[in-house]
Amino acid sequence: MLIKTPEEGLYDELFDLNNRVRPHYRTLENWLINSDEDLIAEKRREANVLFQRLGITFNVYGQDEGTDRLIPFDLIPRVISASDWQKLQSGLRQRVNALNRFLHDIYHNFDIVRAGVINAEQVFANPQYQPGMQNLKLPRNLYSHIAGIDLIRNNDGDFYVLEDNLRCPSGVSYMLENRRMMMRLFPELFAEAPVAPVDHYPALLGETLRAASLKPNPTVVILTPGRFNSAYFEHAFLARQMGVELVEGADLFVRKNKVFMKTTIGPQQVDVIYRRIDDDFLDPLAGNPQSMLGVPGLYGAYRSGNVVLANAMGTGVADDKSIYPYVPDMIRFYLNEEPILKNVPTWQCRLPKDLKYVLEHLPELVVKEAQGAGGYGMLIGPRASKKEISHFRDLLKAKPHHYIAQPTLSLSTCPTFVDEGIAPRHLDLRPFVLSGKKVQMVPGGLTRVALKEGSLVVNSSQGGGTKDTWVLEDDLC
Amino acid sequence: MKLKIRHDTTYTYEEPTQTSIQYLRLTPRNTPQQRILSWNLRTPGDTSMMTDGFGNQVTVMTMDKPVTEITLTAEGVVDLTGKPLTKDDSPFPPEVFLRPTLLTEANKPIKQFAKQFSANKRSLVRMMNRILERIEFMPGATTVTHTAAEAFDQKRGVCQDHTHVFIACCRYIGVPVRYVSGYIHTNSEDHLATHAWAEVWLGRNWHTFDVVNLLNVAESHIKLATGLDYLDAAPVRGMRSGGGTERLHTKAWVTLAGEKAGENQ
Repeated sequence: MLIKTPEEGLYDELFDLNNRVRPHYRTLENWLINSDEDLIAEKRREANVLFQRLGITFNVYGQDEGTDRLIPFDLIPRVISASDWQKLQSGLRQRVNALNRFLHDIYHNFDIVRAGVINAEQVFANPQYQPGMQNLKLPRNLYSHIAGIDLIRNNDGDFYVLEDNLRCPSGVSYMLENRRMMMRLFPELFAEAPVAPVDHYPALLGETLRAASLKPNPTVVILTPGRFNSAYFEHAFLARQMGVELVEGADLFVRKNKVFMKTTIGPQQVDVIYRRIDDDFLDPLAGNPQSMLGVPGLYGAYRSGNVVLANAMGTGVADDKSIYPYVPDMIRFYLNEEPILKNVPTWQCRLPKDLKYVLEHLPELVVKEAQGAGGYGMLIGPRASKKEISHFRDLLKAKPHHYIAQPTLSLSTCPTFVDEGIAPRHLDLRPFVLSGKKVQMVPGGLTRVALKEGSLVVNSSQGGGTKDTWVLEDDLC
Repeated sequence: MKLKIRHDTTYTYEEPTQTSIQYLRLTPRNTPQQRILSWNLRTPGDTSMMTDGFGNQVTVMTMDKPVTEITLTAEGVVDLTGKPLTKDDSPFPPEVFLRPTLLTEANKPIKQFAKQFSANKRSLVRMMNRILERIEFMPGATTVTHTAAEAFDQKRGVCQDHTHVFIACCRYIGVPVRYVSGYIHTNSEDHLATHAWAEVWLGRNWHTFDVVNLLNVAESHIKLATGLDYLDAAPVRGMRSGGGTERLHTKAWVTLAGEKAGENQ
């Protein structure tokens, strides 16, 4: 099959600037051009049927509520060279270490605030800051045991962190199922390319969750909001893979500040809860009194050190867009190292100097809300009409502290099956970083791809798809 | 001034409960302003202690046997030292208390009202007076789930509502403020002895703002718990299974130690 080459000025994962195939893509490219179009079409149909049968579907909030949809899976893997991964891995370790140090600090001594690196109001008035976490000692001082870091490759060829997800990052089940699917459909490909395995993720996750407690053989459970949650498939999947119980709030109860699970042979104490429920819903006696999802008394057990929550309460303050610009400073402050991964330069509109720049350069910039979900939307300058730009100018002048601005980055592209054949589409990458006795991750992560031509939106709720992500164990192939 | 406190809380249920669990913030802490000479909290259940993020002492009580009534009795003697609130006795920076909560969110009318005042004591005292003028003190007019906006709108409420409105206004104009629950000693009979007021951070110190009593000194106040709003500092938060409809009866006596308590109640 023919592979359409990328537009000029974009970084393509497969083709270099002179449209030559990058060395780490050679095996794959060879396979693609030698593959018969009908065979590929047949395999695509097969993959769809298999995914449907596996039940890997997801609910989209807001639209088509309650209906399950299939996330489109693209057969062409995204390949990362061994040397790129080495650098990414060190960068991710460094970043997640610093973020955990930050979380420990802001719930204890506030050194970073006292040192003047971050302004107190930015941290403490943030709605994601949980006063209830103050002075709680956590095993190994870990807050975000499971982190999903969203990365993109810019047209300069460098990886940038777009967003840190430190609450309940999801998507890892797609990473695992995508690999299984590829191995099932194209076993011969894996014989030729030295692709690093990812199937030990559930084992690493189990190890991480057990290390979250200092008890010798801790009992771990996954706490899910239930089958109507959009990620329920993943909760059930991970519980099955790790061999731990999947529970809902009503399956747990608290006595003497300890958490117990109801079982057929009587109550069993629970030591670690991998919770996929938001902070405010964990305990109706501490957070939202209307919550039916949580466990009354859980907060007391947590404060008493008798149970560990993974992730901890209050991690959201560290992945907030208003804190994001400070992550490189956190790395310098806590680790005394230079950041390995790049941050997207960010103008904070609450600062008069930044606001002035942003107002002068609106047509080139992306403007986002500082604290997500507030319904004000975002502005992509280069694609906005004059009217939209002037509307945002007014918004910025009225409420500058609600917004941040960033340059418009061009996400890298990768060949993808589309109606017209094989064409470049934009993508991102979410590696899952596990912090326990040490920081570990499986090579790669979840690659999301924007299936519409030219689109930069990779979210599955907006028509994005996924790809298998290959990290090569060896670049000399 | 030594004060003797007795606080009875009784829940009666239409039918027997199966299990229940309660967080009780009914144990005052020693602070520069108050010394706890004796304190005793009696509950019918199994209890464990914890300290929450605000540093409040919380008794976690659970009950597994069916009951139609739960009575909690807190009793003790507290010495008020008369020292003013000085430096920050909260475990974290005052900026934490800038953030609105569901119960203290400022809606349009509250914002309109709050705009007239500024971040200094004199202006906030005026604001406190205006809130009390607007919201009539009327026990039973609101419940614990009422928000500041609702109380401001219906112009009636109890100390909790006045305090929530005051907090909503302060946070809207950028002044850190916290909710305090506790007891107050008064000579008048028609005031409830269980009480709520606010503490405001004005750059160097915390300052008392007792809206219902128009007081800026906590000369007769015993502090039980602090937080962002009522939900953080509530004397009792509980959940139960079974029990049907619940009735709550609560009564508190605060008397000068040495006097005989409760005889005229």
